[in-house]
Amino acid sequence: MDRLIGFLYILLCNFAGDLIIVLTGLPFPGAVLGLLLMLALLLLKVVKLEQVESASTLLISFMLLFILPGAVKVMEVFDKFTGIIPQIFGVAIISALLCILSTAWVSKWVSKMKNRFRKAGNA
Amino acid sequence: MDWSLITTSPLFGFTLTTLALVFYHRLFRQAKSPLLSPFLFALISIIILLLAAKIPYSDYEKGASILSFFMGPAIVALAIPMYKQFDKLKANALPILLGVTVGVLVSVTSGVLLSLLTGLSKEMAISMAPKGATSAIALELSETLGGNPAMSVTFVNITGIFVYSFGVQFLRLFKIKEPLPLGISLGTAAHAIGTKRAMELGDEEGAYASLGIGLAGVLTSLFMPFVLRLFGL
Repeated sequence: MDRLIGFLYILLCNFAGDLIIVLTGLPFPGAVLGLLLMLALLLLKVVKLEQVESASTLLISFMLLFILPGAVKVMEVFDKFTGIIPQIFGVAIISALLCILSTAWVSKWVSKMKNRFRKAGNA
Repeated sequence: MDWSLITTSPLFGFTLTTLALVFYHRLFRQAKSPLLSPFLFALISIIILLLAAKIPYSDYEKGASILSFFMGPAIVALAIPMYKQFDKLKANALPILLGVTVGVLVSVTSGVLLSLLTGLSKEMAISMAPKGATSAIALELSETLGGNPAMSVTFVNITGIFVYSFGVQFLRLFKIKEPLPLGISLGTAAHAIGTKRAMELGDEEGAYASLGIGLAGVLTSLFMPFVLRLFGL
């Protein structure tokens, strides 16, 4: 039953997220808004971690199962890939390398600046 | 015997999907290589089976769509691991938020720009944009913003498997060895697969990576419509 209550909170956040998106017409996924709502409710202690932990662990551990059907749908668009597979791999790989390097570099540099600033403040 | 009586039952797509995933999960339990991904093998096997048996996707979808439904609640559930790592986020808010923001903008912009430069279609460029986000979120974004969700999931997987295999070596070339930049960048660039790699490096890297997944998903949702408008898509 506890897990069911957690599941209900998760469903309500998802539902509220979808509802807000429908009402406002914002180009934002309702479920991601639901994620932010859930995070806010946890931080505000409206929802307690123990109430939603087991339901969320279950849902996250099943995540691959939920995504798989959407991926299978690629069989319907195979013909769109003919002749451009090298480009697709090239674009995905170069873009991923740019992303990982810029994320790592910016976070490392900002950490370093922050530490230097803090040391200067302590001196 | 009319097989369509069985394949059009929701139980068919539902069971087939679960069976394929569990089968490869068991088979590859000891495997270390990211290429031996249960997800990838289950995906290929289901497609081959449906094509070989001439079962239309619409039959498979009857059961499969029940599973897809749960993606929404599963995305909401990602708030819980983020909440658990919230102290880490608060202690390093500036480096984490700036790093993920820049990373997401680079990922989305370069994905669209490179697609258009190499002559890929607009639909493909849009589908490429959210490839760094976790599949569930990328699928949703692609669907709402004029891409092709199935293509996006394919690009998400190409990205994830590549980063898993070469991401850490690539970062070492640039002398990046600290847990925070390593973890955050793996989670931002390559969602759950990148996070798995970060967890292999250590608990701290893994914790930062799981923050990276959630934040990158939220920020990609936020920035993608603007970046697409910039390109007139």
